[in-house]
Amino acid sequence: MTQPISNRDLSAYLDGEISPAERLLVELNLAKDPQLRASLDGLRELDNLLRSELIPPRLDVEHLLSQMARPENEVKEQRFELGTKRQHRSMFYFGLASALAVSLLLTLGNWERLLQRGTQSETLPSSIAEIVRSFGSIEFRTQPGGPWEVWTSATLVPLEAGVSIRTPSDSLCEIITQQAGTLRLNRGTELVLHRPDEVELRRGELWCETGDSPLIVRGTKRLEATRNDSNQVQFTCPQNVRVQCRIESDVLRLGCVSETPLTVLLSDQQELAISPGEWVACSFSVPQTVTGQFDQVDETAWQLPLLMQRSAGDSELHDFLFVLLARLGQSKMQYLYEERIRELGPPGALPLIAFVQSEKSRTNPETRQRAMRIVADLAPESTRPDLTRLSYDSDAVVAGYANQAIARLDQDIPKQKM
Amino acid sequence: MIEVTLVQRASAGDRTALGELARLAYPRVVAFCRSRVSQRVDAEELAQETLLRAFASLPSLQQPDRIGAWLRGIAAHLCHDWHRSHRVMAPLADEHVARADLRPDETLAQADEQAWVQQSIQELPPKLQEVVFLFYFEELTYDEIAKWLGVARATVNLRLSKAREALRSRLGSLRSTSL
Repeated sequence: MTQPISNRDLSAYLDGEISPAERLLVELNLAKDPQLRASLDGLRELDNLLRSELIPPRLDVEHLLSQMARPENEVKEQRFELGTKRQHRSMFYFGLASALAVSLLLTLGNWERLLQRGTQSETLPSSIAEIVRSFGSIEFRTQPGGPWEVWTSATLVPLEAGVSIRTPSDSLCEIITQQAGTLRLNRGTELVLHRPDEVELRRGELWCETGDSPLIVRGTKRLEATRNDSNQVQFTCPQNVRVQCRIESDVLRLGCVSETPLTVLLSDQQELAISPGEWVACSFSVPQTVTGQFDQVDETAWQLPLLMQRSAGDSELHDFLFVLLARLGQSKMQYLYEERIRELGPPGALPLIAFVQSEKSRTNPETRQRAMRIVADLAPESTRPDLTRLSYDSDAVVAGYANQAIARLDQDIPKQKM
Repeated sequence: MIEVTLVQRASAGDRTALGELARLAYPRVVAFCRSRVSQRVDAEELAQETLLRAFASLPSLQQPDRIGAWLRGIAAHLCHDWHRSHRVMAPLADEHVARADLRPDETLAQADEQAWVQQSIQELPPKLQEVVFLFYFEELTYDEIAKWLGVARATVNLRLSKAREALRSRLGSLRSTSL
């Protein structure tokens, strides 16, 4: 006979903080009680979330000690500087807000002129990879257990084999490997770069473009009971594909971001095909894989602040903004009344035009036509090239509304000149 | 674990020991300050100030094994002063700013989750918050947390369990409202 298990017991079980006898008791109950198993799953999910979001604060010990050695008036000045960090932080967030606001401005038609910053850096020959852009502060350490150092965009850091990199909860970064692969780290991510073609994800989420050679992505799970590094699983991804990997409570999950199916090698060298928009997850504890649907836009949207730093002609940025805008247009058509969209004026037409041009909209011709009816009345001058393309659309109704919009814009030109 | 010998060496002016003590104690003091001052940057500044003040008078510490309670006492005074001097300022948590900024549209669920974590923790009672921060910042064991806080191990278990229960319930509400 078993006794009921309290939340306290379950919490302690998750943390490996119970005796072997108590552990056995919990496991007996888990085996027979699906509700208890669900509670444990819920706790694990929360635990994983907290681990990824609560990044330990770091301290510049030398700086602190040097403050102790300085006269009090100098220390006060230094403390004043510390006080201004909050303002810098606000500026950081203001920058972030601006970046995202700019993302919408860019889609208003003149984004190519706004983004003229080329940010490609020179690759250091001695390194296996290089951080090329970041959003927020990035930390790295060259030896396991060594001190974490802060990377800033002003310094070129050769990332040699074995380097660990982590992003705090408000930072992102992008790394280019020697083999032309790209790695992007989401917030709260930590990885070890073992070789240009082998990375170890320790927590968080990683987007990869594999480049000229296959890439091994290993996931390492830390056991709650011992807090030591434990089980590992890995995916070997073929060259020139895009995937996104994430460590969840008990699995390493890999989503296919590529437009074509790809085949990955699992830890046991078994091959597994994954289609675009699909994910596969390997369990750390049992030899089991599961698959599911992977929303390529939602799941990769965290990269937007990084993509915004790319040059104007960058096709990935352009495609991403287009897809986001189309998604926004679709949402508007689904959830807003037509009058509400019209109240937005000409800017309200932009997501709709992107939606109408997206492949996804073709599965719903009626919504597409309704969107174009609004576009006909609202579309601004900057959308004329899109309207011209749509005037040749295979759907005569859509083409008709596009022509109507062009005719309206033609009439508006003399008014604007007056 | 902060050993008594480390505190004694630091107290005697051993710079290496001071550095090690600062490294070990800092996240724990931040955990305390964050449970009293919601904004991360302010909490980290207060934690540094706490260490500076504590180290300046470290030789006066009579019981090195009570270093945790001593540091938390200094931090409590500083947090109290901070609240007094910031009474007129409207609270604007960094994380809330981040939440607003990180949402160009509804697709950025990640931003929601991040903001949710920070905000939900802030809504917990300070004692529960502190245990959450100690556990997740430092990955301390229940015994280590109990020793640092000067409470029983079962209390740590209870507080962490209560905090998780509250957070899970909020996570459930968030997901049901976002559907």
